[in-house]
Amino acid sequence: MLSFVLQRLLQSVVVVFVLSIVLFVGVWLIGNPADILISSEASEADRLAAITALGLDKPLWQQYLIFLGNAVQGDWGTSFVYKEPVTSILLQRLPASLELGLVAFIIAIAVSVPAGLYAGLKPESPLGRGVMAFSLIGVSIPTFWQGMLLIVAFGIALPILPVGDRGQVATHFGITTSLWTLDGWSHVVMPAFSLALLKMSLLMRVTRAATMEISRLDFVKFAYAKGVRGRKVVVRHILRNALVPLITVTGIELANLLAYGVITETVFSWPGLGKLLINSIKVLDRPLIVAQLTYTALLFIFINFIVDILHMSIDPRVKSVLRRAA
Amino acid sequence: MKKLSLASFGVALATATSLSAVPAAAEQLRVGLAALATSVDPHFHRAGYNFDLRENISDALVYTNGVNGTVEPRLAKSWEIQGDTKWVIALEPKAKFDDGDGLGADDVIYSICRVRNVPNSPGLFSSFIATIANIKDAGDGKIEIDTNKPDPNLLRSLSNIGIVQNPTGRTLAYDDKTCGNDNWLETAGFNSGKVSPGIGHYRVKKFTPDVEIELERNDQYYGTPPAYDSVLVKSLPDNSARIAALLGGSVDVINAVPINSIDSIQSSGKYHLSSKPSTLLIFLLPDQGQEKTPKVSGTDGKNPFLDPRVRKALNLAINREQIAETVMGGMAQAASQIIVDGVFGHEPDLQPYAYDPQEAKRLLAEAGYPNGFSLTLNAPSDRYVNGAQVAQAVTAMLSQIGLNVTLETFPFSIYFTKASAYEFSLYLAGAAADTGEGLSQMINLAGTRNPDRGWGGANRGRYSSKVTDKALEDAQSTLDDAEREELLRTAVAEVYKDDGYVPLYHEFGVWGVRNGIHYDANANLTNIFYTARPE
Repeated sequence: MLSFVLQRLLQSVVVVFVLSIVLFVGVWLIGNPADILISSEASEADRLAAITALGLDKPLWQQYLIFLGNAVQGDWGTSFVYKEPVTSILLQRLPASLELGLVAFIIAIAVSVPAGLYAGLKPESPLGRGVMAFSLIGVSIPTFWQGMLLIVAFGIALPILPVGDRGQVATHFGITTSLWTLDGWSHVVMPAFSLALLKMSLLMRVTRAATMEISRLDFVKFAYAKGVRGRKVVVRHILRNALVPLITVTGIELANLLAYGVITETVFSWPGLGKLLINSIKVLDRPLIVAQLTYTALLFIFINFIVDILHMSIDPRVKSVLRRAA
Repeated sequence: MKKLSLASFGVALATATSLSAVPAAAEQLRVGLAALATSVDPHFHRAGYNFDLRENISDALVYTNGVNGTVEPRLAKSWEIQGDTKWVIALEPKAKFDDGDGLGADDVIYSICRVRNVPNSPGLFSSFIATIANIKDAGDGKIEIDTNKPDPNLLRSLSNIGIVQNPTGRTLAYDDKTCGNDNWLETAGFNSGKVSPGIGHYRVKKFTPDVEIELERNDQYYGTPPAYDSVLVKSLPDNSARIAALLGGSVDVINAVPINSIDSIQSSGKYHLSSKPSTLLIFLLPDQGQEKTPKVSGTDGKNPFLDPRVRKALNLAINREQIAETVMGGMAQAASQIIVDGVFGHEPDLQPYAYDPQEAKRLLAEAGYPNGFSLTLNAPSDRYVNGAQVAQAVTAMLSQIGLNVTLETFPFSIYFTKASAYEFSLYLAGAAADTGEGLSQMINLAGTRNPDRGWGGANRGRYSSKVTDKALEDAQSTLDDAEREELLRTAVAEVYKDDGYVPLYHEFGVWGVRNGIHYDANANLTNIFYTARPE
């Protein structure tokens, strides 16, 4: 177990390191941030002064080493555009993204697992077919489009929900979030649903497929033959085994929700990391881009790590292998 | 003494009446902008979105009114020119900083010195103060500014420099470097609210970069108080999100209304448009700086744009009215020249080129290209309102005169790097008049490109003419308005005659406003919150 954790840690360090190099070179290849930031009416002297102030006058490898030296000490640099430490900007935006991502995740799971299970157990029933039809629509409508449809429907034509932006925040138990307030929920529910729709449809299909596959296996047939009650078979034997592929997919999807709500955040002008990422790429704010994508990489590594541990505790086969090894 | 008290009585009366003109119901104005200021620091970064916030929270000596083009007093109550290079400016005695301290000459000197010394600025305002040789306290609430040559636009330039409170406790001795000071206010202090950005109609209550800015009325303000108690400015860069926010009622005003939403706003009955031709010129610029140009073929290696007949053919090939009416939905006006009408330096005698593809073809043939040639038109994909569609329309129009045109677009983030490296042969771009008058725009666009001198910054096709340069150079040091305007018109006419530019149109600034609110459209595309009022 310990060696597994250590191995994972080492892997993540390598991933982050490689990622930072790729990002540095990538931004450098795209263009010169100075050309975007500096007014076209500025004189050459002003231009040079700005380039020096941003540290862009040094060769790229030197800029990278300076970045690396600071990053090791916990300083991820200062945004070119806002002149604030990138960590404080990210921390400012993180709660909004976490809120949106988590609410979307809960909606997606709460709908997709029961629906997928039902559709897997009774694939021929009208409701089972209905679930499949819904999921097909869900995966095929682009996120930005359904987001705009939702806004038009519930924000403008039938104005029952506020359009865009995060609601009021409140602090309880040391956590500041808009989820403590009614206003906050009225703001989050539409973007969260929009963000959840695709994941929901995807997870429905995964759950259904896994359920159908497992229902056909011998141990299920034997359980029914032995006279185990239907509900018990479904919960103990089918669902539990279906969870294994589901958790792998869910893990990645959760990381996606938390880090890449880019489109939803843009459409709903949700002040989270996704919107920030798009805006910082537009102006080539390298320190912000690097810090954000590094955060994303760490998030993916961390969630995959949790997924692996969950696998061990859920999958009876993996468990028995581990027990035997011990 | 008696006179003075009478005068102050009059001022009090005026203030009282203007106060009573403000309806009690006026509370918060919520504005959604396509780009939000990146800092509260008035000197931090020279960019359009920062001009916006600065004008509302940190007064400069004067204000260049983008609605009617005049220069209005702000912290400078009055001014006069003595000789050619000396300006005596009387400061507004009623102007007070947040702590109640009155405005002094030392604050002005400190602020102008700080312009060159903002720590880690990504783009300084220094070119606005380039002509200042010295500033000193002339006593009696006056300052004296000496310029190193006659500078007719000194005040307009200074209208971009917000005045902050001098924290050093002494009056700095002006020079064009550090003014003997090595400890300047940090930008972060302004953003966190620790340092006040100066004296403005509004104060910043909370600044959240890239999300929103909360402003509240400055009750100590010396001039006309704004109608709204507070203003909430939100960042809504995405077009559809911005429109949705307006139609959904979460903001009252949006700027940069996308063309395809104009109908839905006008037909709703609940919103109206506030629009005005802006100084932003959208143009095509052919490469006139090199013998061989990178993106043209079929000309035996020659650069066809060095031939004035070919440039004229380009001008004749464009149907400007159609672009303005169809592609831009009427939110643009066909351009004959760089400077828009109503702005200082505009030459009213010039008309936009009439659309004449036959004549264009004839000129091409005369220039030795009866079968045209192949070229790539470059355009930014995400910079100007409907810019990509305009580029497509232009491509089609140029094909009509027998050119084999391919359109190639790039995102703004890399476009100008390439344009500055002269990688384009014919490119589409835009440029506005930062200072609200024509001279700076002409120097920026039509002046021979010379980075050291700060000329031709946006002239990436390297149009160059001795006549134009001479006229602009003379205009720079001509204080007499009529004479200077004549020089500018000479330069404008010369560019027209040379076909140095292919001006397309001047874009309208378009705001979407909820009915019941008056919001001024502004030719400089600046957002002025303090003139907004309920109606």
